[in-house]
Amino acid sequence: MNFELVLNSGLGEIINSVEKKQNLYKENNFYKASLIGLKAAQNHILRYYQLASEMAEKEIDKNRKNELLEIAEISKKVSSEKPDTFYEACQLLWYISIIAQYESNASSLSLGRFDQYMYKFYKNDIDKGIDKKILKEILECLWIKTNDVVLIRSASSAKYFAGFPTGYTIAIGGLTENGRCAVNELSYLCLESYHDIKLPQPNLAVRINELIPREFLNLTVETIRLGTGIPQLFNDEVIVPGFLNRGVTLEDARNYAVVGCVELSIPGKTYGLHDIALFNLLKIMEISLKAYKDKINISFDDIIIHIKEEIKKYTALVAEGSNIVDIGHREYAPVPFLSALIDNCIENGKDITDGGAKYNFSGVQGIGEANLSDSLYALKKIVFEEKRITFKRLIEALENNYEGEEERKLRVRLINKYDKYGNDCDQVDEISSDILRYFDKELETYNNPRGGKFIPGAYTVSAHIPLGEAVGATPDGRKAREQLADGGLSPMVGRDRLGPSAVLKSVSKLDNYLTTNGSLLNIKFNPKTLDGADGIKKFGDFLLAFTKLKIQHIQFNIISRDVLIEAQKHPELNKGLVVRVAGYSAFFVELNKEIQDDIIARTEHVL
Amino acid sequence: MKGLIFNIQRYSIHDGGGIRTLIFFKGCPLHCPWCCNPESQKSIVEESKIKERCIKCSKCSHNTDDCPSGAITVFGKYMSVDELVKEAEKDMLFYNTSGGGVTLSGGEVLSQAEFAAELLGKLKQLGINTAVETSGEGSTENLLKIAKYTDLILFDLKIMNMDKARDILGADIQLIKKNLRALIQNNYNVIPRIPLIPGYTMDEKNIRDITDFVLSLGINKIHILPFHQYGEKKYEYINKEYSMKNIKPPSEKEINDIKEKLELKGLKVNIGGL
Repeated sequence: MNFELVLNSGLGEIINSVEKKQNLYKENNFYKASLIGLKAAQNHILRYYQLASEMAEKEIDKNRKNELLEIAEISKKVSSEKPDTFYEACQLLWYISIIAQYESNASSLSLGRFDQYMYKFYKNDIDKGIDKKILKEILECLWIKTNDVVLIRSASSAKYFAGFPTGYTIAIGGLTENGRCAVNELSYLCLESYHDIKLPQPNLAVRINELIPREFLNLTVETIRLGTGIPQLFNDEVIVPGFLNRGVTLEDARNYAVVGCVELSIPGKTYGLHDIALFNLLKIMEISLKAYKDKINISFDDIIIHIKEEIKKYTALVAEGSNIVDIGHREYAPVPFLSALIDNCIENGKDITDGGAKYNFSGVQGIGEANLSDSLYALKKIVFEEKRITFKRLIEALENNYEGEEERKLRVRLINKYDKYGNDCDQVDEISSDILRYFDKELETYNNPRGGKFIPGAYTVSAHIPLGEAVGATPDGRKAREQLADGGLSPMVGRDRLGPSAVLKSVSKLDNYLTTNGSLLNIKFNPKTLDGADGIKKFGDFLLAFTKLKIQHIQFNIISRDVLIEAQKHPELNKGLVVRVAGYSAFFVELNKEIQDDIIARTEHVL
Repeated sequence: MKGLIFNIQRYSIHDGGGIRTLIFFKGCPLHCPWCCNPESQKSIVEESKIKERCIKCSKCSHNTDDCPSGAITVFGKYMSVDELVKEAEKDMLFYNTSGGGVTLSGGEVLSQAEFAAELLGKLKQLGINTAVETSGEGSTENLLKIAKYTDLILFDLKIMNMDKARDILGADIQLIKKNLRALIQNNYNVIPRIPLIPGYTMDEKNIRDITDFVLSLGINKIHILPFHQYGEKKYEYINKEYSMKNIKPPSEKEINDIKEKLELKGLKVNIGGL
């Protein structure tokens, strides 16, 4: 949502502009509905004014009384006027955010580029001589508030998005409109203040690029070292060009932010429908292999061609299904309050669900590329090159879930004897690079009903566990129903053996310019790696190489395996332990056992 | 020409500055009892069985190709300069952002000096920073040939007593000292390193001998590498007796005492490598 607009105009002025439109277009229901929502928002804020006033009257403690009076005064002011101070701006920001939550039970109302649009308020206060400590405290209060909201989810949704994520994602740093480094004093303060908080929210994200100041990079690494998985990093060097390829203007592309976990968006201008569908590439492979079981004289290339045909077929179905849901949103779940705060909706007289926003995407995640590469490479080697087993026999072993002595040996061979994705081996990496790219290009040919395009992503949130449950045994040695590789871009758990640089190299071979819906790479480091000033420097150097490799995203768990195992055994003693799950962090003890085990099993890079 | 290599380790951050790729040469004239890479000592391809990997097939094939788990394996592979350069180039971006590069280790690099010189020369041509870890046990001529293409030489000083060095390590300490002197005289960039091995290198006399020798050459910095037990498993893999089994790594206090002693003499000390 366009927080900049709200903070620079104030609710009153926004209401005026919608009223003007409504007077011109009396039949337009969107304007009517928006006004109901906006005025209700004003009333809602005024109720806090009243409550705080009443509480202040009864309060005996003088300090608290003054605080309550200030709250009342600020609430009254921002219910219609634009804010002037940092405190007022934070207060209005939070009211608006909460009200939008009421409207749609939204899973992720992210705060966009907080350090950019809030900077002017921060700077004004500092120039007026207000103590930075006071501003830091206000900021920390806001950070704590972002942990208040717990979204009501269905049981299956809770499985796909484990650990109660609410996605108060904030992108800091990055580029200015004219392509310069956007890091400012408030960017530093956002990270510094998080050192006092260490909670799952806000989900801070640092936008990294070639211009990042070393001092800011070091602070980023020091924050990562806290071990909560925050901040995650996003790479401007690939994301900005990616957006240009989607028809986004240069200035808007430089202004991108992050929604929820890793969903990429142009803040205040986009309805991205980022999580409309997940596309299980490994399931497609399974279907394709089984269909060829009894065919004679097939080649490896035939199999790849067939997989692509199936991708094409199912992509059409995914697009069709997604569009049905999209239209359903328009008919049954419009969001007129939110829409009033997204660019072009007021001009167009349309809700975001009706195509009112400037940019309209539908995001579908291609999932399972690591297992796909590993499976097809092992299949190619064992069946077509080494000819150790016939294609039919291999498929039978998969159907039997590797039961039996010979099958057990086969499985061990498939796991151990053939190179795997994540080890910088071109022959392996190119398989999923080719297939994922095919899916990406196929998907982007479809249109959504809002006048926008479908765009691909490559992140799983925690869906690699339920999506794994839907797939039988695969030729990478994975047994039926076992999880898929985590993250989206990450190698299969335990299969990367050459260290983090090799992982990054493998990931960099995917066409990461295409996944403009977002992608996700998990890396786990032993805390020792980041010891001391030298550890910080080398980790920063590693991140600069990541930047040059044009990978969109990376995030870290910096907790030793022993700590996690201990926490699993004694949850009562480890309630405060925050870990990285997907594009978000959560309390470790609140995750179910499968996800806990998954995080423990991810390869820990230790040096 | 091919070299006998037993491991290539990427993303190594304590062996010569920045993020580095380590290329381990196989074959070593010494036999230090604490060696953490015992599979590096023999100059041949060695067969091995890694018990932990074995899945106990009903009938063992005793054949590397047929073993499904990789339990039956070999240590050592003959590789060409081009093959190694190709591996080294994979992390070029990481070297560039971190000031890293390639480090040749062992085994003993000097035992395959001509091959090492060719490899190092090629790496330098490509603008890659190079380092070599050596025990100094080899001909001076070979060492200087290698040094020509090496940005940093990490030179071990272990046991300074001539008899003990010969009996325990199989080392000629006079030769080693001569070699270090030659490097300094030719203005090569060298950092001496002391492995801190309880019962072998940590006694006062040995540390003093090392310090005096180093200072006499005008060297002003030194690395100390505390003993660790990471190599223990590997002795099992190659069926070799491990005499250091129950030896505890030096305590933090012991390490710091030695560090202080060295610093008092005016040396800049680093623990654990760059």
